Amino acid sequence: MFEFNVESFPFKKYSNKQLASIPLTLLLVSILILGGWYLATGSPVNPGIEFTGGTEITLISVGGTDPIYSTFNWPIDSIRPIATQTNAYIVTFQSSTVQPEQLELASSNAGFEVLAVQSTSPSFGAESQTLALLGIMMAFIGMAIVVFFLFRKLVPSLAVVLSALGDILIPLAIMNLLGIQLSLGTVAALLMLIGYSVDSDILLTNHILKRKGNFYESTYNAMRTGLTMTFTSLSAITVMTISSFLFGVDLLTSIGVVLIFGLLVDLLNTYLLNFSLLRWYVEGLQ
Amino acid sequence: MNIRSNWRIFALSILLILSVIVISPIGSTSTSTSDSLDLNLSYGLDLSGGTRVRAPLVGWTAEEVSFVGYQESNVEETVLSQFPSLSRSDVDAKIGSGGIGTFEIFADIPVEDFKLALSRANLSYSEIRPGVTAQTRKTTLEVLNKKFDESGLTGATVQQSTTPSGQYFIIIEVPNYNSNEVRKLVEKRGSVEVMIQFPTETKEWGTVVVLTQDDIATVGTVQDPTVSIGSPHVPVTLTEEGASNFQIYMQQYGFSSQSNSNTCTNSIPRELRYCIHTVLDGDIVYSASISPGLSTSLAKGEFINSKNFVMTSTNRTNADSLRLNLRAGALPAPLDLDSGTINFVSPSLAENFKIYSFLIGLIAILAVAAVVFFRYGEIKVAFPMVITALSEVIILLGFSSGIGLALDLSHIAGFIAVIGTGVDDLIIIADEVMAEGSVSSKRIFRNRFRAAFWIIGAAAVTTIVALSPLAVLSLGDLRGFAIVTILGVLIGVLITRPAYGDILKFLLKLK
Repeated sequence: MFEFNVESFPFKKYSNKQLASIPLTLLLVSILILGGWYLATGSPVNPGIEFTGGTEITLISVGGTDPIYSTFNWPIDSIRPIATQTNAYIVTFQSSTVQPEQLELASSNAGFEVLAVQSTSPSFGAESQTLALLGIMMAFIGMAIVVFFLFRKLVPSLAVVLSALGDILIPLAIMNLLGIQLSLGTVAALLMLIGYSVDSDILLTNHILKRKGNFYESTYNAMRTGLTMTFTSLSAITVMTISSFLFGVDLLTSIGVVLIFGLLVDLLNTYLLNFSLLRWYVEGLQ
Repeated sequence: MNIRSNWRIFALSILLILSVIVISPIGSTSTSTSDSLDLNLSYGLDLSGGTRVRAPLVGWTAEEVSFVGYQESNVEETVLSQFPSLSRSDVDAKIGSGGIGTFEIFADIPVEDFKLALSRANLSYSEIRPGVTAQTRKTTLEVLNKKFDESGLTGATVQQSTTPSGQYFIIIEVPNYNSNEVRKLVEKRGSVEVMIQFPTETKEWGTVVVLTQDDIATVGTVQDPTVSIGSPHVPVTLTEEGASNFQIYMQQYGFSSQSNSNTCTNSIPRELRYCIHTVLDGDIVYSASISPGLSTSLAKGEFINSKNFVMTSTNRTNADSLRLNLRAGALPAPLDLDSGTINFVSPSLAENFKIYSFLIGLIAILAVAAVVFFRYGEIKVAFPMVITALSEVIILLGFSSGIGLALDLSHIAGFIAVIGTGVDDLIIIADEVMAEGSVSSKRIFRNRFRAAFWIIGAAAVTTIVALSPLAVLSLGDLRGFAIVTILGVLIGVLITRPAYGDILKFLLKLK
């Protein structure tokens, strides 16, 4: 049995500004990255083929990647091997307007066994992108309304909402830097993050505002539970991500990667940003 | 143990038992024996293999067209005369009550051309919008269903969906078949016509469509070549009206004259031939002479009595597809396969995905179990926690099986989200209940439990509100994810997670 030694965390040593500055700087840097991405590419993120249109074809090429390059006369955006299946590759055509039937025909002529085809037209992709953004925005606004309704106090509610905003925007910026594309899977992960994020924030706010007793005692209690939650989720999601990567289950891998970053960022947002705003609010009450 | 105070444990047990019964292989109708995961669950394309095609229908619709004083067929002819490349089946006037209706054109033409053609035909309308009418979509779904039934691609489902911007898509899902097989069946409309060709004085030769699919009453099975008919062929009988029109046309253009039979050959100059063409989607796929027998029957006026006609094809495969098109009918509008999505997963890859996702789920649960055992050190706390989290997934699986939900990877992602929020909530309950030493009385337990429930309830409401837009928006995969997660959170917060509190109370031996 182990306990998180939360009492050793030097909350008392640092001011609210000092604590909040770390997650706020990260948030600001992330907004700058997303803004810069928008100016440079016309989109704040790297949209995948589900949003730009394109075709992804999973095939078995006994001769490795060379025959793949020589078979397809269209620009290939990426070729990724599947770890658990010999000679299986996922080939992505994002930038060209090649039709999937042309690719399938070329594959069967070259003797590749086609395991999967996923194709989206640019017009359908553009509509999906609008919908996905709409979905994330509605989710965020819905979450904010519920949080305000739950606490009915401006500063604590804003603290939760701001922390959730960071939990979405900072992982998005990290995705850009690591070259992870926005897919339906990563959108799902961002929405899960809203859920995980408010879990720990509500716990902390509830303990500090609604419980009798010492401010730091309440904080440490909430933190002990919150850290257990986050580390349990983190360990489960890490093994899920590694195993789904090895098995070549792309959807679960991309969800997992985003969740790992999101949960780590959530630690900063909850125990530095949300905490310092709450302490500032409570100090103002006294 | 008191049922009233421990009703959640009983509810959890009953749901769990029911779910296990529903998903156990005993209830399964599957005959497969090699499959190690032979549970009574239905799987979507990701996990069972097959093809999903999502495509809009091609066309423009003029709304509130005033047809007063016009006849349906005349109006169609008039508009069609503006488009030499289109045929009769590419336009459709639907005249409703009071002479007001819609005019649809099923082709990818510039909207300006359509406007011009309507105004040249003196038709007024309120607006022209992309897409087709609800009636046309309904007919399309019916024809597609028939096509799949006739072709033997069993298990296919066809439905329509709409996007928030008002665009309609036809969604076709066919288990176990690859995208080429499905595409071949739906990429063409499958409109079959019989057209005759005959010499004329003014032009090189004349053509008239003498039979359409509407004129055919019954379709026989494909026949092998015989002495009199040298290719695979499909016998059909015509409707009363079709046979009568056919006889009139054939007599009018000289096909009833014995001397004109057997003239559709290369040895005779094209402008002198009398030919019967089978036309598929506007292309001549087979040409034949009129047989002396049919010619005689037409001359005597006996054809109207037998109404038997034979449609000939080049080979067995084409004859099979001819029969299929005749039986299923033509799609009222073509599907635009390049403007939607196509997904194909081979059955072998899907089988892998199925096994892998079960394994990944199992590994994730084992990781959770390891961490909570390590954290709490007490088996009384950790073991029921893992069991409760696991039972949420089993109940969700049972529920999915009960409502016939076809599981896809997106649902698996939803299960993982449910396990995630579930374990978080269970940790909150455990920590709250055991806070600051032992729980001495039931009253303290109740207060602490209520505090814990406020937190997990608040978090659950937030998650449900955040995910509900996605459960409604037609964002493909994300919809399944959102629905499963919302369902799981509801089951969890209302039944299983509070039941864990009761189990803890029982195990911590509260008086």
